[in-house]
Amino acid sequence: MVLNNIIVKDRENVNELTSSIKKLFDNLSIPLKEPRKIIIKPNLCYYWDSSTGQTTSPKLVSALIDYLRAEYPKKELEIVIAEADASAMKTKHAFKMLGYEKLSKEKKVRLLNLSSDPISNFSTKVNSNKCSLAFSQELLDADMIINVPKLKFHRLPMVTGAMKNIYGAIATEHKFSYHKVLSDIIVASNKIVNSNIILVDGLIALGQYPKFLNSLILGSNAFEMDCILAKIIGFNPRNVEYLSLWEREGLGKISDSEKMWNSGLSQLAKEFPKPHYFRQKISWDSQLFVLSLYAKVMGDVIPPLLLDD
Amino acid sequence: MIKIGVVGIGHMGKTHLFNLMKNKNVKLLGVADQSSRARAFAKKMGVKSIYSNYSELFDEPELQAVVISLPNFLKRESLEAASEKGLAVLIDKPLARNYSEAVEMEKIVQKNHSRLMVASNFRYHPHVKKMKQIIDDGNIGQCKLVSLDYINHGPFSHPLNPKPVPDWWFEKEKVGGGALIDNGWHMIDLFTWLFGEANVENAIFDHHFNLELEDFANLTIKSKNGVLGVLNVGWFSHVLFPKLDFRIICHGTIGYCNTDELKPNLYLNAAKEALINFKRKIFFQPINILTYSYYFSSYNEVLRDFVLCLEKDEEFPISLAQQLMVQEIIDKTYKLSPINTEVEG
Repeated sequence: MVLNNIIVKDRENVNELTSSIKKLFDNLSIPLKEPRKIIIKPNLCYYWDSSTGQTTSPKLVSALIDYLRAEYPKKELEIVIAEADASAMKTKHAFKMLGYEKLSKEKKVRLLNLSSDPISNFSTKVNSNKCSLAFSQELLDADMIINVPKLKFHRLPMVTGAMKNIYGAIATEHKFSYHKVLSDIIVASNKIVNSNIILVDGLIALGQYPKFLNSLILGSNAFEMDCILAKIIGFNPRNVEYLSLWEREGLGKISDSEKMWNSGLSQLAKEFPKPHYFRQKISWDSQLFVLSLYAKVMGDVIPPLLLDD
Repeated sequence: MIKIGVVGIGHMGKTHLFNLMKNKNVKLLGVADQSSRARAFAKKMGVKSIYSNYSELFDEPELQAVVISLPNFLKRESLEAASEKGLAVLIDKPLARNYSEAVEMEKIVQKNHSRLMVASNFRYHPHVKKMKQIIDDGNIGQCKLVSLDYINHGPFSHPLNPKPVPDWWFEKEKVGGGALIDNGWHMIDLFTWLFGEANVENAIFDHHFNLELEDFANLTIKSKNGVLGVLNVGWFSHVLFPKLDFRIICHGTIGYCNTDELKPNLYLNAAKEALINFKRKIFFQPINILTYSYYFSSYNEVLRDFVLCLEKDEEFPISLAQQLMVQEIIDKTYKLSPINTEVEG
């Protein structure tokens, strides 16, 4: 993979973001054939706007569209912004609430709900187990998929980067049911869907808290990008289950990503607000355990908000 | 013992259901919900009579009261159906989508000689009760200026087990309003409870998200006895439980009080209440439900008062007249300032 990173001065300025994206692409020496349809997949996991560090900035996507239009000026180029419904999020509402509906009108690009027809089932094997996942046929048929994940920590996979963003493209709404086999499903989804380009939105990174890092990272391999993101967040990629599973499947080597580490990424790693992963997990799990035990022994009530029903 | 039912087993309905199941003064006769998932949940909880239509529940001959926990646009018609059966009703806030609908609801209750109470539970938070005592005792002199803030993620709060936000929350016609009618209800209820009759002086609505509904608002309210209140309410903030971005700061002529300073420590309070319950259990006394969490306990307390008033045939602590005033202030506020639905940037 080739990988570049850049720090932008003004993360709110679309023109500056566009020129930063151009610089990143100019240094990306991989041959890209001229596409007719490009699908941009941001991370819109829930109704949290980009200032929380949880979702991809619509300004970044706007700048990316400007760059793509300048780079591929042919009229027939179609650009689509795509996201799938999630357990708690409906794409139609997220597009509207988070400013993507407005963006699609301004930039004349189409919005695509990846949970709507036509959907096809695709099978693959992970850990020697057969795994069948539903994806939008349009996503699979695109000439180019540009994956625009967030630089953020999540307590389950530890890294919510490029590969988890493809997991988010699975058409099935209730993806929460996959959480028990999350790593397998992340690996399976990335075996089925290949991201051609990954542009990581690190403008506002999310670790223990959100932080303005004003950073963009561009690459062409989702696995290696996530290895880099894991290091920035503060984890050894080998301890991230889905990354080590990908390696065990013979699909990539964690050591390859180490060659791409540079001083800019080291600086990002220093500035990233490190999550207190184990402290948080132990604290939260033990509180829920004590509460459940107390309620069981005493016959008290647990509020539905805290029930994992 | 009051024979009671629950209509609507959504997020709030579940809370009421759990509390009712532990209340020694009630007999739960049944629940009603259109959703098969909600009915399956009620079955899992051990509820015996489960209906898909509230009319069937209201036909239960022994039923005396119901808790209505339905979306705002279904409140009037369900209240009418319950009221015609002579049932007493506890309804979640807001009372209605607008003032004229609330007045219609009052007329329905009067016509049928039934009873209605709104579950405005913030009055039951221990630090709010303490503040009222301080104000009523004159400990900070005469109150002149009060600020009330309640900011959260409104209907978009993400539960532990994720579920989609129901579509009706995105439709202005069905909700009646945004952060003002939702979070603002509590703040206006508290202001008028603390300082009496009031009117809105000024209001600004704004949007963080692209929604038809306002997701934050600032209003100035003045009580007839001259207390000026500044209210800030919003749906834009991703604050995670147990954090709660709610406070009242009251400035008097001889001091001030702040609910943040009166609030019990969450963990110390939980430990203290657990010990009290442990002692009660040893002496075969009924435990105090949910007291370990003052936030959730407030829902239980409002329900407990509703049931006790029915048993003793007493006036409800939250009067319908006062809640109509809250609804009227909200209506006037919406009329003061047009809502800009375009988000910046």
